[in-house]
Amino acid sequence: MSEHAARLVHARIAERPGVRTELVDVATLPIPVDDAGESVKDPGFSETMSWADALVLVAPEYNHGYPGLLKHVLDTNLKEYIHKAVGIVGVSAGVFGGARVIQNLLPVLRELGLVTIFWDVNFTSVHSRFDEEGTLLDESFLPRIDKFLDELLWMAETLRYGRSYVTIGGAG
Amino acid sequence: MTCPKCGGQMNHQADKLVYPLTATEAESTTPGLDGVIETVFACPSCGWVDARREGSPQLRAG
Repeated sequence: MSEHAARLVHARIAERPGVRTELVDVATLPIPVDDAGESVKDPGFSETMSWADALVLVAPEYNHGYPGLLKHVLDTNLKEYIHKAVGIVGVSAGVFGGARVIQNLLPVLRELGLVTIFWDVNFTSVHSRFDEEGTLLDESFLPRIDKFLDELLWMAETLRYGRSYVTIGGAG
Repeated sequence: MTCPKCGGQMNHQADKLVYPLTATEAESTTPGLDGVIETVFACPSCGWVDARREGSPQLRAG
């Protein structure tokens, strides 16, 4: 069901003028699991992260945490993330809508150099939010997604300026 | 640093502390920081990012 949520959010982003976006399914990346970190980075994924100004993570919650595969993939890059915006969409079958996966991801994203926004999207009881084809059944989620994206794009634009023109140690 | 993608002048936008994973990397740890500084650059022209580690003349492979 997380894939339905990801496709919905991706489609909403793609509607924004001037935004180029790509949907990445971490399950399809050819990243080995017999090592970890930058030594197993996938060149294509790294290139995508290098060009990106912002990331949206759509993450299901398992046992109050994030999927190990998501962490494994995130760990393969570092410089590609620095001073870039990230927002999290939590997905769960229960009533908390991935609130705990979001909280558990925050320190990881901070250490990776990403800048988290203060809006989240929480897909509670996700099985009742989409039909089998992935059509959203409850449009009350849309205004929240739009606010989430407003904030994400503001942060992305601001950080793009900062990365480009504000030199570390030279500000102030 | 010159952008490898478009030739523009890159901005030194961050110093990120990274922790050594191998004995070789541990030997180049910055004193007092328990890690190595990764110097991160961004290109104002095209947006590309790149980095190098303190004490290393080589760019890190992207």
